[in-house]
Amino acid sequence: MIRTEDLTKVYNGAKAVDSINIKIDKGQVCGFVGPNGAGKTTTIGMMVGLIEPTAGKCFVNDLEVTRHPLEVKQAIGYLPDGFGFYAHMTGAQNLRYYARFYGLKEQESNARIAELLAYVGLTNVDKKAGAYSKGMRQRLGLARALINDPEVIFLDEPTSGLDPEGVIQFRKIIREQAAKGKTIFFSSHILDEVQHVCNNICIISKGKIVAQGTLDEVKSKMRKDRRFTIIVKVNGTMPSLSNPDIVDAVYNNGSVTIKSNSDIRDYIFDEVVRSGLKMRELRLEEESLEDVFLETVYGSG
Amino acid sequence: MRPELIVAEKEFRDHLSSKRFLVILAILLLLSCYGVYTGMQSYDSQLNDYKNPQYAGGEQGMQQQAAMLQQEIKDAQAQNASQERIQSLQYSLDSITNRPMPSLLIVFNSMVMLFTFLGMILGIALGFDQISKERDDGSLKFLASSPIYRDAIINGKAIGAISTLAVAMGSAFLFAIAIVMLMGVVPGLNDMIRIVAFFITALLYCSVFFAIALLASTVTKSTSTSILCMVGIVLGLVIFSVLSFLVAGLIAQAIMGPAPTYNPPTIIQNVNDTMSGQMISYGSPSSDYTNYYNKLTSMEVQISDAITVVSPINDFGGGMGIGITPGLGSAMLSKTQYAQTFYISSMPGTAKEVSLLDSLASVWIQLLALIVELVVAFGISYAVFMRMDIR
Repeated sequence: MIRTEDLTKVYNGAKAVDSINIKIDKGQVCGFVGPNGAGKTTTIGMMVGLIEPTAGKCFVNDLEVTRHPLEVKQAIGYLPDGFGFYAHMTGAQNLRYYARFYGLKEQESNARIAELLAYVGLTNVDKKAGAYSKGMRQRLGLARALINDPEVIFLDEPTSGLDPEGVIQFRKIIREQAAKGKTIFFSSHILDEVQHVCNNICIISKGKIVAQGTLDEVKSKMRKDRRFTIIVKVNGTMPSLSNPDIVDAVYNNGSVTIKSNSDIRDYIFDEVVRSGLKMRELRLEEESLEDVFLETVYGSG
Repeated sequence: MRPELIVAEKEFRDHLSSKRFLVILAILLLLSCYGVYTGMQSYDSQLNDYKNPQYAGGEQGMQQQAAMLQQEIKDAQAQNASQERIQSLQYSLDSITNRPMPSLLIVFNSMVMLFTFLGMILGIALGFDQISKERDDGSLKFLASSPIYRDAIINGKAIGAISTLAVAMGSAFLFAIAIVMLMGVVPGLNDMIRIVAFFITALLYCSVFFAIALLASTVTKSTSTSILCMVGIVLGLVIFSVLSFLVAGLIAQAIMGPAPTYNPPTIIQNVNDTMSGQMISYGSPSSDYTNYYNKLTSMEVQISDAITVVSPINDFGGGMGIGITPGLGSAMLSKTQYAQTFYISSMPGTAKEVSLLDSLASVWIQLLALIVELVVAFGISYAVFMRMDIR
């Protein structure tokens, strides 16, 4: 459904997007995650035909974007980052203007606009778009992205600046669209945001794709040298452990936090019992995707 | 409907309802009204002069002047003087013996200067934020991601703005005609054609500034930079016009060399003015000296015109933008042969009526320059916009 082949964009000699290859199948909701300035907006810009790639290709519905811009634009919906509306027009007037480009007849367009305004919760809002709050503008933006009932939806940081209620509403809408079989490509710099709605994830850092796949796949790809964190608590002074897999151990009276290259819980249990102590807690703490993401992308926890 | 027309329709509506446009239009109409009113007064006064001619020396003085010119023509022909010189003398004779009736078109003369400045402001006002504002506001992202080619956006914006300019020019035209008619004068067909031609060339002139402002709006990163850029361009054009006149003077002086020695004019005839009772002396100036300065002035103007042809202000409004030498606007409103008689006495000025096509032919360079400026400015905007990354 969405595919890129060595997609590259160079600005003033610097690669904003560096030979990225992304593949998203029909019906998938893919979170495109990366820190600010990683190249997310530029990548989406090239996918929707607003930015010309320096090299490489991108395809939507197997149509190359630069060669078939109209067919691609007819099939997609796009909610850009930092978008705006014509401030002197109402929300409905703004949508009516854009609807004309999709060849919707007046009656058809009016019905679709009424349906969308109700869907995003802007029915009976007659004020000019210039007087909209950030949340209202974002909802109107989503209505604009859905005006042509697109097969593929691109959302660039759709929840940035929204209050918690707005974020929840947005997630609900994305889930509903996904349930209808739409392919959604959704960028964010907050991993938690993506985990809530996406079944696929694509991580970009410094213009390069770091990992791509399901959440588990991404986690394992990003953490090749997987480490285990084991928390141990005993009813006395914790004996010193000397397993070769242990990378780090922080002792604190009756407890220890161990980082190891393998799951050594059996070894720890045996050592505690051998020391005549009683085990109070023996727990394997798995690294969250957020930890893996932060450590890989930002280089720290 | 074609996408460019959808864009154009929205732009047209937006312009017509914008306060900025309405204020400029109101000023344009008010000043047009004032210009036509004062023009009508001048027309009435010239009509009175035509009906009751006042010659220096009375009727007798006029006859003596005519006789003198006839003699000069004969002398010139006998001395094999240049055709230009003979023609010039014949036109001077014509203007005494067969005075043309004042043209109604003089009513619109003040509009040349008015349109030179307000038309420029109007064109800039419609163009300076066409692209940059949409980019600043973020609406360009939605527009450009709609299923339309990029050229439909920029073409639509241009169509919308030029249609708005046409409405402004049309309103000013109708307003002016209405005032003239209300004051009891009905323009003839020939006059009407010239007035329409004047408004069409004024529209072309405004469109040139619109295209330049559109270019500034496309290539700059924000609306504030775009407006600063336009202020710079306008100031630059005005300074350029003034400097070009000075530079042209220096070049002409260098080509012509030093002036010949000045000899006081020789008195060839004394006539007693019957009206004032005073004696009027007709003299023949030193021909070398006069010829030198005529040629020098002519060369200065020609060099200055050649330099300033790149400035739309000069092309439409004439020399230095204030009509020191006439431009396209004045040519459209001049029924007699378009000549730079104001400064260049060596060139023939004539009372002979010419067609609109002849008038256009006399200023074809200015007309072509305006068209080229429009095409170049719009062409660059188009090319830049088509390849622009919308981020």
